[in-house]
Amino acid sequence: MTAKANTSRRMRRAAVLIALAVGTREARAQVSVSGSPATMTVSAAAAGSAPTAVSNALTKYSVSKPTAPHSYTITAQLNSAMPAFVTLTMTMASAGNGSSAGAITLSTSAQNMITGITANVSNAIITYQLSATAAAGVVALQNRIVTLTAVTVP
Amino acid sequence: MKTSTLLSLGALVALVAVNTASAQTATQTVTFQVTAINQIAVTGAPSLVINAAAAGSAPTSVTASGNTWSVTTNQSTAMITASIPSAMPAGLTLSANLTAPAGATSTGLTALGTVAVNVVTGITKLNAAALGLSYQLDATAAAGVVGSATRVVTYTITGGV
Repeated sequence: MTAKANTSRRMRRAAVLIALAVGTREARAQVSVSGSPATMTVSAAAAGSAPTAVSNALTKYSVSKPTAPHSYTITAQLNSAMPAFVTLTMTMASAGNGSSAGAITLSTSAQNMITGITANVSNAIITYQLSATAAAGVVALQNRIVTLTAVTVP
Repeated sequence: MKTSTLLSLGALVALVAVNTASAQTATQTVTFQVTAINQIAVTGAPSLVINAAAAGSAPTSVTASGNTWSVTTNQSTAMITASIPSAMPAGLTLSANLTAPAGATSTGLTALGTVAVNVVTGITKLNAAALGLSYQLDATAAAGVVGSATRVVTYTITGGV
């Protein structure tokens, strides 16, 4: 193989590496959480009313600053559907950065929780609310995995 | 293979590894449950006075309506029982009549005693408020004159399955 051919191959390899490096930088939409919420139990009601919903606002999330001109959208989704007549809603506080969609009923489809994040978000509050109607009946202890995804926009 | 080629491939593998490990997602595990819920409440403190009769008939019964009851249960075939802590004076009968929520059954006007009796059965997974509740006091002439007295009526909801 000639020296010219070797040089050409090295240049192509270098181009691939640069492309990968750029791709890697855009993929670093770091989102993290402080842990999982404690068990949520619906166990009470005022007579004549639906069971009393319970909330947990003790976990937090953080997001790294995106590379300009990008912003991040955070989506959330469940790994499987909630039991019938049981609803899990989630609110991610914007903490002054991005726009929170407010309380969103979680499902197996990804839904926008916060859009337009352009700076670091540190330890912003996540609020879960579990509610059930009487029709839900007794629901055995179980869990769902909530996946938060940082999507680079555009 | 030349050293430079090995180094380039090594860098390629390293960058791919970084790309894969980049935390695009985070997860939380939400654990939850709904336990059995059975709640009942009543409103009203009725007063019943028998003070009339049609000549030749027993004293005229009186009814107190306008009371209400409410219920929430997330179980099936729950029932409501009612009782009073001490027996009524001889010749007097106190009865209660609860309107059943949708899908349940009322036993209608039911005499109350110290032993709990069913007043509504078959309540299944519902919440219903401000349902009708009335009381009736009956007396025979043999009861005579009875001084003012009270009875606390206790309603109990028993969960089904």
